[in-house]
This record gives sequence, structure tokens and C-alpha cells, in this order.
Amino acid sequence: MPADRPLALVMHSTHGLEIAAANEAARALGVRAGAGLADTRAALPELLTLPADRARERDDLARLARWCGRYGPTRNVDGEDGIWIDITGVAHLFAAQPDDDGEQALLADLSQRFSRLCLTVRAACADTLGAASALARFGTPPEGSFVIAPSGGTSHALAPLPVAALRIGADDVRLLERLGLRRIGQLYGLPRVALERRFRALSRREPSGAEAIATVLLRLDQALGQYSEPRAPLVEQSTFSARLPFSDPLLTAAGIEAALERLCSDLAGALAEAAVGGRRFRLTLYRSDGTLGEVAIGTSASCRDDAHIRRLLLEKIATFDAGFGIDLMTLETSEVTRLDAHQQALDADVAGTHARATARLVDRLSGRLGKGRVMRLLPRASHIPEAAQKRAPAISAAPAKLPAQSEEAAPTFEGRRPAFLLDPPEPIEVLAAIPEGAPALIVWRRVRRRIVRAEGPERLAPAWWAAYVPRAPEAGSGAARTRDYYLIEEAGGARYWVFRAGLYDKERDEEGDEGSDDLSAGVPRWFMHGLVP
Amino acid sequence: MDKEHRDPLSPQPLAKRIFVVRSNTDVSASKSISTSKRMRPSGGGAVAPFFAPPPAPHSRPTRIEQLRALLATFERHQDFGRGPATDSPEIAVCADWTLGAPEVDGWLPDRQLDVASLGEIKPETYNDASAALAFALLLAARRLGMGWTGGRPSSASSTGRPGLVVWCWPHRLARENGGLYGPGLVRLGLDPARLLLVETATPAETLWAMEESINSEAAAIVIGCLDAVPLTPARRLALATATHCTPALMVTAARSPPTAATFARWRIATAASAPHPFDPAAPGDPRFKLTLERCRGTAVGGVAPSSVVEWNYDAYRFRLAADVGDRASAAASRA
Repeated sequence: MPADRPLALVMHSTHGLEIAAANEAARALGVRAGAGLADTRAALPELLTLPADRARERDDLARLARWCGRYGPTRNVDGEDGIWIDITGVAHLFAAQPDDDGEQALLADLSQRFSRLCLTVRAACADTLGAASALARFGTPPEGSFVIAPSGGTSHALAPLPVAALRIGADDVRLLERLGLRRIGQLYGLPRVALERRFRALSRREPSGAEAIATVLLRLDQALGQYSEPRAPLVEQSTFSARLPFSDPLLTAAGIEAALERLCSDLAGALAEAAVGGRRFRLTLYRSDGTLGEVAIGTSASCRDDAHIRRLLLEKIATFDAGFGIDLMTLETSEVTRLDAHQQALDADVAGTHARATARLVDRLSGRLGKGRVMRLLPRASHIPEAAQKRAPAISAAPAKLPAQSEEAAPTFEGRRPAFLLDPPEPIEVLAAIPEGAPALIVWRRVRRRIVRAEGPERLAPAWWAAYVPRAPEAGSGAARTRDYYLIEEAGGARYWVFRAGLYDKERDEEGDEGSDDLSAGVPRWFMHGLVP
Repeated sequence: MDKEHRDPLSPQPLAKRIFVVRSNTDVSASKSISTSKRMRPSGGGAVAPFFAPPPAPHSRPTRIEQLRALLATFERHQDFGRGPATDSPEIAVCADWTLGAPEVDGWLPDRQLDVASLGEIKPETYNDASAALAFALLLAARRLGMGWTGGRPSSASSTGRPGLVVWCWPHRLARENGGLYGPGLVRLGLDPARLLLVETATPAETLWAMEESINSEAAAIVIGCLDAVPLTPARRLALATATHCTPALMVTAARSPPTAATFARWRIATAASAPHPFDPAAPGDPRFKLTLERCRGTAVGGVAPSSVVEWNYDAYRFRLAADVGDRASAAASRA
């Protein structure tokens, strides 16, 4: 698309198609965002238009905000067209000289990188989010393309800006302008009570007059730093992080690995100094073409062992595409908990050594294979066999609690339970000597098996409460019918655990009132449920 | 990349790692003690602390026994893959990992299973696969040495060997054979809390997970189930077991070619269960027909020893099925 031809993005609005945005050439010819397309077309027939895609714009803006993590960990999208970055304690990293505060260099670097991405940027730096937002959108950059309000000089920098810069609605702006208040500086000296009274007088017809002036004053206070403004960062803020910039982009795997080693040891050092450990680690690799790759790992126990973190991350970045090179890497940790130093290599501490080794192993396996593939078997208090155990990801199951839990909660069954459970149970065909009796012949997986010995039945009543308690272990297991379990042995010696779901009419009469509870009346069905050694 | 976590399928500098093992045996005894830090102390998993009361017999071997065992391991594996090992039966090996049936243990060199090696368990037919899996579980229960107090297995690490049973298999086999079930494992003598279950997408990942687990200090025994194991990963696993003194068992399909570099290969078939003590129509304790098809350190070429053993649920050990011979007459008299 030629940049020198007038181009506008259009979108649907209540009044038909409307200009959403226009390029430099179009703006020079008088095309304004918000104007109707029909009017604009009439004035400028050669205007090119494209449909605006708000969702994609938002996505792209969010991606850009993520990328801005190279200038500060706390950042997010600001409105529809902006990004804010908290550079507190970051700017000096960009300083060329020790006495420089680095803000100039940071903004220069930012502007340069954005222009390399073919993006026009209006950058500003100020003490507060409100002031920075106002200066970026309405400020007049003195030189280059950015405005810096010196620390403490916010009110001076904001004074010449129009009141619209205060992030207030168009109605409020109009109201202020009717009062003759066009610039932010004019608001400074006004007594608040008088302002409020005049506002209310002007907007008597609307009940929202008081709210409107409250908004204006709040925005003013926020911009001047007299009232704090909560900011929601894009990503969870991490207290501990390490960053490593490169003057020449890294291209080789060996280089990235070496850098990762240094990052890990830096972060581990910081964690050790504070006597804490993290459970989530996130490595971000910024490519020189403006894209970035993120790798996150989790550990089952709080950890600050740099070799371990490095191994876990290496697994993940093995397939990472460095593109045109990596020029910045950051490593952050979250879910930080206290972790005191432990003494190593004392023979007596067998349990501790094993717990640590277990955590390592679980981390490695889960990191490469996926959380859900490495599991622990946790017992649950239920008499329905498939609900009596829960497969939990090993990385989130607290290892210290496991043995005690199983001691207490493991149900002790009198009857035999299979070592291998088929879940869901597989339907089988059964031939029995008497309908209520043990099977004499079964067909499972299309193979006829003659049964020579059988033990049973072990009758398990359905968990009637499962329908009422959504969090019951039995909920959703489909155990709505009475089950009769049999342990049967095939002629060759193989042993199976089968059950009949449902009762025959004769049995139901014997069971009395339970018959009515049996939800799915009908012919009982047989299932293979497990293999017993 | 670290030396220890390459892709299990890529060709490996085996010679280099063999050299590492061998160099330990060549140098003096003091050197091998210093290197023993790398190895997992494999007896009770621990060395008795200095001021602890003397350990109970057979529960925790002394330090000198452990070191002897370590040397024995080195000696056994110094000419790895070249011929029968030359170890004398007098050396007390640290880990008493036996089946519990003296007749079957007698088939093995040193009358016990080798803890620093890869074992293979094969079903006789496809239908015996569940028996082979169960046999692997029972060997794991024997390895942990738990449940000697009777009643139910205790999970306290003081009574048995610390560490995990790591069970790795591809998702497909888990669906085919059913998932491991905790309450059933309790009955076999295995504490489900000591089990780490790994279900992978591919067989290659299973092999990788097995090798990682063997290299970790956390595992007491590693069990993998696959249809077949290629040569290179099998040798890698065998070397890892030898280096870390953590045994590994492979349960493979009946028809696949035997796995290389194994210490022993068992062939398992289901057998009619033992008579139930109270109910003649009910199945009793499970029985397996065991055949030791191959074992390093035993005579090559004779008839493979074979026997029917049964698992004793009360003592958590195997025993020879005594009444196999007159099962027919017993059945006749019952009828």
C-alpha cells in the first residue's frame, strides 16, 4: 500500500460507515477520524479505504505491549491506541554516562526500534501515568519525537495542554470549554468548591453534573500525582528477575545457552540473597525483529538451584527459533516463597535428599512431557471403584503430604481390587448359569473366555448423593446403578474383575425400596472393570 | 547440552561412558570411595549415621558392605557385554532383591536379582500381558521391601528402601491394559504414594523418561512397558542402571525380539491360581509360570529353568507352588 496516497480505515457506527483512522497523507488532506465516510468521500473521491479490524488491532497492541517488556517489566495496553511502561528503576540501564538518568536514551532507543518496525510512535515520559498519557497524545515534542517531563515538573509540563488531554469524556471537555477552561493550567488555580458549584449550575438538567466534575478533578489529581492511580500490569509482576542485553544479536544455540547459564546464576544469586525460592520461571527472548519468544517452566517445590532451572529451560528452548538473532533475554520468577539454605551432603538426611531428588525428577519429566503426563495416584474416600482414586499431576501434588494422606484416607477394601483398572469399564457379553449368578463365559474384546472359577458378588450400591453434590468424588462417574462385582478366573488362569450394572426384577423385589432408586431400570449389563494379578 | 540428557535415540559415545565406569576399578580403593559420592548409596539408600543405634540385621547394611557391593558392581560391569561376569558368591551385595522363593532365587547368580542392571519381562502370549505387568509390579514390591510388618504396607521410609517406583509407558498401552489402580496396588504390597506414573505420547519419550528416572536419585526401581526396545536405547538404559545402581525392568510384547544388554529375561505365563483356602469355586493366590530364558552369569545353552510360583499376599513374597503336580487329582477329589 503506497504510503503517500490518502488511506483511511473505516468501521461501522450508529451513523453508517465512519473513518476510524487515517494515514499521514489523508490527514494532510483534511480527513479526520470520526467523520462519516460519505462526507469525506464527497470531498476526497480518491480516498482509499480498508475495513478496520478492532479485534486484530487490540491483539497486535497487546503483542506490542508484551514486547515492550524490554523497557520495564510492568507495562500494559493503555486505551485503544497506547501502551504504558513503568520505567521506575529501569532507565539508568540505558544511560551512556554514569551521571545520565537514561530516560532520554531509553526513549530514543524505543523510538528508533518502533520506527524500524515501520510504526509511528509518540512517546512521553512523566512522573504519573496521567501526565505521560497527556503528553504523549497532546504534547508538542521539542526535538526528535518524544517529550520528557522532568521529575517534579509535571504541572508545568501539563499547563499548556488542552483539557481533553486529561482522559475525560467529550461531554466533560465541552462543559469545561463553555466555562472558558481550555487549558489544563487554567484548572490549577481554581478553587475547587467554586468549580464544582459552576459545574452543577451548568449541568442542572443532568443529574450527572456532580459526577462529571468529580471525574475531572480525579483525573487532574491523578495526572499531577496527588491521587494514586492503580495500574494493572499485563503480566504478573515478578520481584526477582535478571536481564542480559547483547550488543550483537545472538544467533547460535551455544550462545543462547551460555547466556542462559549466566541469567540463571544471576537470578539464583538474587534469590539466595533474599533466602527465597520460586516455583514459576519465565524466560523471555527478544528477537531483534521485534518479536519475542517466551518459555515458562514450573517446579514442584520452591527452587533456586541454577543448574536445575537451566536444565528445565534448556529442554524448552531446544526447538526455539532465534530468527534474526536475540538481542535481549530476561528471566523472571514468581510464586516466590521463603526457602532457607539447607545443609548438603550430610548422610543422615536421607529423607530430605530423596524429597529434593523427587522434586527434580518430577520437574524434568513434567517439563518435557507435559504436566498431565506425570502423575501421582491420590486416594479418595469413595466406595465406587473408579472414584476411589484420583490421578493428579505430580508437579502440583504436594509431595510432603502424600504418605500421610494415603495412610489416613486410603480405603481398606475387604474384597480384592484390580491392579489395573479399565476406565471407563468395557462392556462384555456374558453367559451365566443363572441370571443372578457368576458368569460362565464372557466375550471381552471379541475373545470368548471360559470362566472356571468365580468369587462374588460384592454388591456396591450407587452413590445416590452424587446427583445432589456436584463436588462428590462419584459425580459424573455414571455409577447410577447397583453393581455386583465378581472376581473371575479364566480357564488359562487370567483373572478379571467384572461387574453387572443393574438388578434383575427378582432381586429388585428382594431389595425392596431400593428398586425405585435404580435410575436406569432395564436389562442389567455386564462390564469388564479391571485385571487382577 | 549436558551429557546426560540427549535424545535417547541419537547415537551415543558409548565407549566414553564405559571408560568412566572402568576407570573407577583401575585406580586404588581410596579413589573409588571418593567417586562413590556420585553413585547412589544403594543399600538402605543411606549410610547409617555415626551415632545412630546399630542397624537391625537385614534392614540396613553397614557402610563397608555397601562399598563392597559397589566394587562388586564395578567388577560385574567392567567387561560389560563381553562375557559372563566373574564375581564370587562370597561378596555380600548391598541390596537383597530377591523373589523370596529360594528355589527360584537359586537360578540367579548370587541368589538374587542384580540391582545395577536392566531386566526384561516378556509374556508368553498376548493374553499373558497382564501377568507380565503384574510380575513387574510384584518385583517392585519386593525391591521396596515393604509390608514386612504384615497387615498393610507401610510407607514409612524407615521400614523399607526409600525412593519411588517410576512406572513409564505410552498412553496407548495404558488404555489397552488399564491404568494403575491404587487400592489394588495396596493389596499387592505397593504403596501408591510411592508411585510416580508417567504416561507418554510416544515410545521414545518412555525411554527418555526411564533414563531420566534411573539417573535421578529419587527412583528405587524404574519400570517401563513398550512393545519393543531398540538396541541403542537398551544399551543406554543398561549403562545408566550400572552407573546409578538403580534397577530397571522392561515389560515388552510377547512377539517382539528380545531386548539387548539385559541382565535377565523372564518369560511369564499365567497359571491357574492356587486353591482358595475356604471356597473351592473361588480363585486363590495368583500363580505365574516363570521361565528364566536368559541370565548373565549363568551357564549358557542348557534348558531354561522354569517353574510355577505363586504370590503370597500375606508375606509379600513368591513361593513355589507346591501342589502343582497333583492339581489334577485335587480337582478330581473336589469334584
